[in-house]
Amino acid sequence: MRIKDKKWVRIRIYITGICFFLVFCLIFLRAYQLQILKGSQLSSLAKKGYTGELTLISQRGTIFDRNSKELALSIEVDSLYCYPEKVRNKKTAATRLARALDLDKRDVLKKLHSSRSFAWIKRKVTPEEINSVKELNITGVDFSKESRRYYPCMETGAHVIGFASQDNKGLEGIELQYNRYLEGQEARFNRIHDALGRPLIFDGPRIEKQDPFNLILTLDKDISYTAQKALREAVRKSRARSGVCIVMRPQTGEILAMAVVPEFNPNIFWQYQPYEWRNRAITDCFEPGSTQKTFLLAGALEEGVISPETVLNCENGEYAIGSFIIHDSRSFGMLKVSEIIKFSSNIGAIKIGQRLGAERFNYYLKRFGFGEQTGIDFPGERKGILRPIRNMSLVGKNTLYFGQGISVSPLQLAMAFGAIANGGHLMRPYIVKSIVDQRGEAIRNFYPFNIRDVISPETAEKVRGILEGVVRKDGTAPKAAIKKYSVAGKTGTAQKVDPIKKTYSNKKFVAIFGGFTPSDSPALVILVALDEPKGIPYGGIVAAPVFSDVGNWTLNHLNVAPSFQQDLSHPIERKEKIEVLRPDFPGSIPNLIGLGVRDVLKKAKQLGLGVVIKGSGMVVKQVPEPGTPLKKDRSLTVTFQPPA
Amino acid sequence: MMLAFFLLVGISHVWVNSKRTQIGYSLSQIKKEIGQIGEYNRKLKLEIASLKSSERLENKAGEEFGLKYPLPQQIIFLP
Repeated sequence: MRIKDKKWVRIRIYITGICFFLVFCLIFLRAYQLQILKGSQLSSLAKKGYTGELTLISQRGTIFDRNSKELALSIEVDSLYCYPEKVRNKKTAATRLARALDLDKRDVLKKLHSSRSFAWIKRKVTPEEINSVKELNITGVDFSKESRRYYPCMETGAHVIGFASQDNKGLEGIELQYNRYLEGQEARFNRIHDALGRPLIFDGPRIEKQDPFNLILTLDKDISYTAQKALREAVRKSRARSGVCIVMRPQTGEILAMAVVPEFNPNIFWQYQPYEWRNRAITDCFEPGSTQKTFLLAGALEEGVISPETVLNCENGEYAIGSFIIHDSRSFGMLKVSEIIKFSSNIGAIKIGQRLGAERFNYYLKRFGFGEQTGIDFPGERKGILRPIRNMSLVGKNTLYFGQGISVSPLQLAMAFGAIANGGHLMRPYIVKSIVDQRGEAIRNFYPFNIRDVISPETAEKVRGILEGVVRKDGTAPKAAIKKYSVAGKTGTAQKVDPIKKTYSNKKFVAIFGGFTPSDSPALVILVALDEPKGIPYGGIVAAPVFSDVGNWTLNHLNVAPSFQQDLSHPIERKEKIEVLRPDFPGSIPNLIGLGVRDVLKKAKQLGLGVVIKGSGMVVKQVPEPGTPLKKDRSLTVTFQPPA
Repeated sequence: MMLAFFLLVGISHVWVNSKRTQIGYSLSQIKKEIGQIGEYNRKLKLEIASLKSSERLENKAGEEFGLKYPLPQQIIFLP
């Protein structure tokens, strides 16, 4: 090889080397640019391609009744959305979607033409709707999971439970009051997926999921249903504007049922007017009418200014207070205090009130919880109106004794009756029994709370005895009687104020019956109020039957022992039964069931029998049996129980 | 010898990664199934609650089986 050729080879080697060097420099510079200068930007871009975020929707907590039956629960449902840019042939797509989802075509088209990158078409759709939309196979339309609230008992207990919005926020009732417990927090996970988008690996949650809590209420689903049904029927029959029925345990203040009419279905709450959502048992107030006499009686007995046997002059139905004449519905002369309550004499109430004094009466009304909130765990409670005595006229003071010039909520009234029933303790009502976590362990329990002792147990006992007379045949509410159970209660028919004339209306009333049963050992307090019933407006006629129906069913449901073996509580039925069951054959032991002590002694004396008396009240058992041949040397053992 | 060692390490690495991917797939599948079963369970609970609503049971008992509420005299209380 010549020297010249050798040089040329060397030059070529150098050139090749330089080329390689330049290429490597280029690669190095590109690598530097990619790895160092744009490294973080590109790596995050790449990460986006294979990682994603998974959001686990938080389910709202479940609401149970006292027997762990579901009253409100959430499940996942699909919601339909679109990316407007990606939808082709929008007009056809809108027509087909509107048909499948039962929507207005123009609304759908508007959403498809939206300038935003994302638009909801229909939220929380049914499985049938999902299938029909999937069949349409429209590009740019997809589904997303959302949580939806369901209320399986529909109208039952709806005014207590309330409802939650589409975004799972409590809007009314217990859903609103306990929203912070019911509302959970959604969890977010980072995940790695493959090229087809299938998830591969999950990291731990980036945002820790906060499980919602469940609520156990004091409500009983079945009692609530019975109360709602009976009230609905009473409102329909009486053509009243609205109605309320509260069922409560007097010893604890637990609300077992709170029925309200007009009613609404919380599953479709948006189809109702806000006035239909209102829990009138807590938010509405009215004058208590003659039910007020119960608390007048309690105060007067507690102060010792009267006794049940005290006789007062009821002025033959007309009594002048200044220039005003107070009337009774019937003309009464001299009546015992127990009879004043039984016949609901307004003049008699004034006479009791005059002995007690307006200031003391006002004091007792406050003690019974009127004019202040009961403290129930429910939003929007009103406290009613209890004016100071010094601001009242003479007539105002006197009409206050029979329930005018004061405004109370149905719940306040029920709690005050509860204080009579339980021996004088004003209890705080409550609806939520406990808050539990997802494993069922209680994180917070609610217990009965005695606000104050209002009257002594002895006074409460006397009031109970007098109120039993109200449901007897000659009282104002025989329709409130419950067969085999003793009942005590008081009717009220309160005139409403005419807002235009500013006087009491003669056409608009609130019919009320409040009471408890069994009166000797109260298991239930029931308060029924109907607003503006048409026709006969008396509480004893329109409200009392609801008390009887709900009480009868609930006592059986709760397995409360009957007060009597036979029906001694219902005077009409009792009369019929007594006629059948008392065949006093000559020469045999007579049937004494249902008689009082005096009558038994009288009969025994006539027949020359010795009598062993057990208990007091009316005869519920006798030995020997009726019809046993009479022998003069035999004696009778008679067992008594307190009557209704 | 060294080559065989590196080959073994390489194959093991590939095998472990492939296994990891497979387990990842089945894990995500199981998680999905758990979610679906849980949701199905909730839906069944809702259905049970709806089917056991007092109104439905009362209507069914009355209309289908001709049942009525007992009269007070038909109720015997057992202490």
